[in-house]
Amino acid sequence: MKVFVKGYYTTKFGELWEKSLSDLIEEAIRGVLKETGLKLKDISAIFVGNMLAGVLDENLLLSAKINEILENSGIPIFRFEAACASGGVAFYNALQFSKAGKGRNVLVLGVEKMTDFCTEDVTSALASALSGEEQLAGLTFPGAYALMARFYLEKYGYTEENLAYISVKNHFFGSLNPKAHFQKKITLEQVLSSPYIAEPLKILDSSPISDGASAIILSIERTKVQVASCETATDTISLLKRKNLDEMLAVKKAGEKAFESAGVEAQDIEVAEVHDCFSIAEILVMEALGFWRKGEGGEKAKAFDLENPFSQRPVVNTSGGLKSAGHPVGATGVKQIGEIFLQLSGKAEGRQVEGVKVGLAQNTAGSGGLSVVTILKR
Amino acid sequence: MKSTKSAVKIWRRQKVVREKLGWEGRIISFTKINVAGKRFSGQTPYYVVLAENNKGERMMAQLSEGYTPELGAKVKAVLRRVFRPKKGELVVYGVKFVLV
Repeated sequence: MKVFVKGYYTTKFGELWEKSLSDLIEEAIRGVLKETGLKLKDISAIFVGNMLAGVLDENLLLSAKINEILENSGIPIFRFEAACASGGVAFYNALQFSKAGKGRNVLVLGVEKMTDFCTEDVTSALASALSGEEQLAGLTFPGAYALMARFYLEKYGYTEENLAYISVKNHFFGSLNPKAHFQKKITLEQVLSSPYIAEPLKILDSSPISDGASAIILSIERTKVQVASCETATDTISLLKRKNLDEMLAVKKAGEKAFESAGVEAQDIEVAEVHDCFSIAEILVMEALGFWRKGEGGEKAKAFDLENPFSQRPVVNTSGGLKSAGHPVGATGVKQIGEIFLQLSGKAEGRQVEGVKVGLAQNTAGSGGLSVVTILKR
Repeated sequence: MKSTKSAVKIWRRQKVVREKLGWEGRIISFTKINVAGKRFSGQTPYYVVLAENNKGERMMAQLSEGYTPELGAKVKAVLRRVFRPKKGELVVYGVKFVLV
């Protein structure tokens, strides 16, 4: 069965101190219903991606919590956890539900409330998605990507400057997105002079701690934008067991499957949202998906033409990516697909890439232990 | 890191730690952590090192205080206290690296 994207809504991402987890959930659900002109009774089920409410906030059974927010309609609600790919995995499962003919309209929600907690607590909570050995070594998420970054830079003879271009590009696009956490451009010099979090990664190589919720409605009724494919694959949780330290195999496998089932190739993709939790991540993902050849990512990042930002194909991370749009972890995977929907339906306003018909969204969990790749087409 | 509060879990892990002591390998990557989680925040900055031996086996551990890592340098696994326990908590021992 063919499944289409009927509509998308996202809250602003950022430090939303006046909004609770419940407020974010309600805003996103009401927002997407309004956007699509649907009522709650038209929705067959809700699929929710959330990572941290249980760990940080002792807040579980989101299904019943959301039902209560929705005035106890009793609708089936399922919650998925796959670290930073919780949103992507929720979308994947909602799609299977739709394809199985279980309902006309299915709502996918991604949500995360992170800024109620101090950085140390959030750092520890995110580190739950590292292996036990890594946790006991005091590794953090920035640390895991830092290990990959140093290995990559050394192997291919690049410097931290090659990484910094990714952040400059994503902040440029983020400056055009009114829902982004940071809506301002940054310079190469600012990135390079920002303090280290985990060497060689600096604060401006890193996505921020954000709050936010995003929602999509999938429908079996025809719309302009079809879900051409959505595939997922796994790798080891630990960096210690990875085949190559600079290769994201889960991304590669999910990407290959997604290209195959959509019947498209990497060069057909015109817009893409990729998981740039750290600058190095965008480079490794671009290589894993076959947009760039292995090892040329550092050079390609540097070659980005800021004077003609919409001229490359694919145009990557028009939302601002995780770096600039923000990274409320459970929401990110849904926002990425939503951004591709906006691009393909001509609703991306100031950051619209003209005439695009095929787009891809790639979501990563942990240091690469899981990935979801989704392709939408007009 | 709540899980390290379980005495039984610590006891179970200690048996694995014994097997790792004396392991040697070369540094294939390392990072200096400036922002840590709550268990390690009092110890920043510290180095986390990823090493590999000639059989292709890898081990990850913190570099013991006072050493500075370099890619390719040889490290050895030694027994160290993993982090400072809070009052009343068990002391957790584990593996750290020293340069050899």
